[in-house]
Amino acid sequence: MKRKPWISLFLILLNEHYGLSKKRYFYFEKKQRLWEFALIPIVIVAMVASLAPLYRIIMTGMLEQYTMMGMEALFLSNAYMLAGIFGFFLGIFMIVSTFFFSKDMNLLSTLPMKPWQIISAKTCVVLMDQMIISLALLLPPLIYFGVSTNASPLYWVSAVVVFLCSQIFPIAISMIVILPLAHKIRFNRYKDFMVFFLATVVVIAVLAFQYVMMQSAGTYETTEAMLEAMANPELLVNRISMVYPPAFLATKALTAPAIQGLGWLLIFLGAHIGLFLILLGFGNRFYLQVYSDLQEKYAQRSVLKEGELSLRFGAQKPPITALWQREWRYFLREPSFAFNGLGAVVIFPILILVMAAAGSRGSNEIRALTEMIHEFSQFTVPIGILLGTLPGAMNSLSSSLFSREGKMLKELRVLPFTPIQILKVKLAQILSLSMIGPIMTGVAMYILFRINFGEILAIVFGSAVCMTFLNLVQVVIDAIRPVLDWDNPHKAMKANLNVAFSIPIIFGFCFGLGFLGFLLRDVLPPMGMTAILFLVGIFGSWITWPAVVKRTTALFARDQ
Amino acid sequence: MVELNGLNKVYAGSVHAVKDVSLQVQKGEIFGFLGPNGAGKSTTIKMIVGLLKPTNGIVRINGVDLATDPISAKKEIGYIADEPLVMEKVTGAEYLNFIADVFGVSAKARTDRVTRLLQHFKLTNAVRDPISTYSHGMRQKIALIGALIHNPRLWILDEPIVGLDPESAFVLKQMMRRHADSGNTVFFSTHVMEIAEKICDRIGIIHRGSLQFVGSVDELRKARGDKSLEKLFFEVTDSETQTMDFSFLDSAE
Repeated sequence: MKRKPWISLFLILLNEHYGLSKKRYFYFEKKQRLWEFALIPIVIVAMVASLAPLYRIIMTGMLEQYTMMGMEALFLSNAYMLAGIFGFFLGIFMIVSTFFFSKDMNLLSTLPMKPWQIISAKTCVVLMDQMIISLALLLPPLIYFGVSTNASPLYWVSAVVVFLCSQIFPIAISMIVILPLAHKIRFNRYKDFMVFFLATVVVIAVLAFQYVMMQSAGTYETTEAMLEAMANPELLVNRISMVYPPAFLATKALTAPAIQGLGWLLIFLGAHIGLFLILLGFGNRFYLQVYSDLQEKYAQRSVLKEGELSLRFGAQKPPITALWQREWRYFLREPSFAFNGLGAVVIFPILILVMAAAGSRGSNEIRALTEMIHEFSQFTVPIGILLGTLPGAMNSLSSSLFSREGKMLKELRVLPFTPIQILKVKLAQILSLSMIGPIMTGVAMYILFRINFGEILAIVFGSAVCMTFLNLVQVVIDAIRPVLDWDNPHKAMKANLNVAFSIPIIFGFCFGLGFLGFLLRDVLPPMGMTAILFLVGIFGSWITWPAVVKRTTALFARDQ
Repeated sequence: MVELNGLNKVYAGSVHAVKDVSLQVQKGEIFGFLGPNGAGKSTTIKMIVGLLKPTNGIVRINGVDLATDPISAKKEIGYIADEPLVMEKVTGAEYLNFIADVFGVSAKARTDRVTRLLQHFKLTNAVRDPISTYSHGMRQKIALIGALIHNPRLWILDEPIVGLDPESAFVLKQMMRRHADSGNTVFFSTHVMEIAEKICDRIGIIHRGSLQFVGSVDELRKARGDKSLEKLFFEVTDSETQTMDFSFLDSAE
């Protein structure tokens, strides 16, 4: 069957990205790993079922509060803005990997296709991926708002358009910023590292900008100023336009009366189409040139100095040290791993630190939140342990422990080490990285609650043992079915199903135990809760370890 | 026809990977591009197919300037990279259909051509399976079929024999000869001197980015003496192979 080139390109990129043909072949033709096929919907249903009630409570509370203040439009603008910010943060590395370091470009750039065709097809594939963010953060509020307010048919039409366009802005802006910068700066060495670095700088700049704007938009120096804002909800929505312009347009399209709403919807749609066209224009101008620059493999070799070889090869290290160094080198020299791994470990504690720093003079919401935590100040240690466990465990490092090896797992298998030696080195590496989470949480809890040194230690060590348990569980998941056939390193971490499987386990552990603690707050003292968390961590690690060993040994014994 | 005129590639402003390469490969010709590792072969080939942009110089494909009209130029080329450039998670059939769609090959033409090529390379029964299940040689073959599916007039093959079994290598060599004899052009790189000697009408030897010799093997012998192509190649590229001392391999530790 003959297809138009663009459609054919889009379909094959989609197929390749999600491995559809490969999955169909293994599931339905070879009848292999059918359990995995059955497990995916079960995990999705379990995630939705476990999070939906909590989500509903939050949405109900928020909408009721906003409605009481006559600011129900903010409910929608907040959801849209949140989906956009998450899209920006999670999407930028995906964009960089897909556009600049995906192997398929070696083929695509030799084909008679125009840059805009490649960019638009690839952007659509990235958008499909990003829509999961909007699916989780934007779609439920859109539906809940529509049902609660008995919205008109136009609202539902606008909601569909707003939902479908919600990830265009973050992706287009990321590309529009990165393309000319990467072209202009023309990195000489470590190009992949520099592009990821640039992407990180862009993300930090955007987050910083939004933080500053949120502060100015949400802080009122006097009670009069706050009352004035509440009396004029329009003013507040207008302030949002400064922070995230598409949220303003989306809110107007969804909440303005019929004809006006239609007008705003057309402006919203026009703005997104315009942005997409600008992206294609930038792409046509810069993309293939930037890609070509990045492909230049060369070695700026210079003549070795006398004795340099002896210096480089003159020291012998123990084999385990060599393995340990290999582990760190592979992690740090693959920018996608380094940025994703470190980002996941430090981002949550940084948020807590920012919250802690902003607690005294920040926005009303942050002040209210810190005051709420202060109400449970006697439970600081158990709360801190659970807070520290979250970044320590949810870092994509352990759930991609073997996946990150990819085809290099074969190299690992032929080295003269036992699987257990390899496992211990890998675990030591990820646990030392993961410890950043508990340590930074301990610091943040000190800033917030002025806890004593003993309490800080209890938080750090308590988080460490719970984190170790959860990391071991994730290693088991990855050892059962590691994703080894990736061509784009990003897929080993962010687009790895094992990482997705781990999320409900970690959330279930932290929020489940947190909720249990909340229920038992009158009968169980803080010390008792702390002791139980320590015991859960230690006992959990102890019973999980044999499974980790068994699965790792089986993985290394498997035919590949 | 391939025409390279004053082609240069300078990496990072200082590493001169390809220096003033000028040559013409005519229709009806098989041209072998030889050179040691790192000599500039792959860089030159990547500039011909549009993967790398020349620092300066012109690449013309059948008279079309690659820089000014890349789409028309690329339509003339069937390219095989030194590593098979195929998407791994799709099936062989999906990959070939994609390439055929991009080059606008009609349904009938692609069916006829793919059927023959799959038979020649003994890949018919694997075409429904994902490419990730293929061996290296099979991937090389599917990449070859993809490169030839639109019947390009110019074949650019970067070490195409690597990974092929003897039968497939023989089939490919026959196809290259036939393609050139039908008035088309084959430009390929290889490290196997016997193949270059047997099937090339002319060869080019590149060393440290510069073309050291362009002509037939007979012309090279006339200039340098009646020796094997391997020895002539070592001479042209200043190889120290003949004087190397391997006795260190016998040491105890």
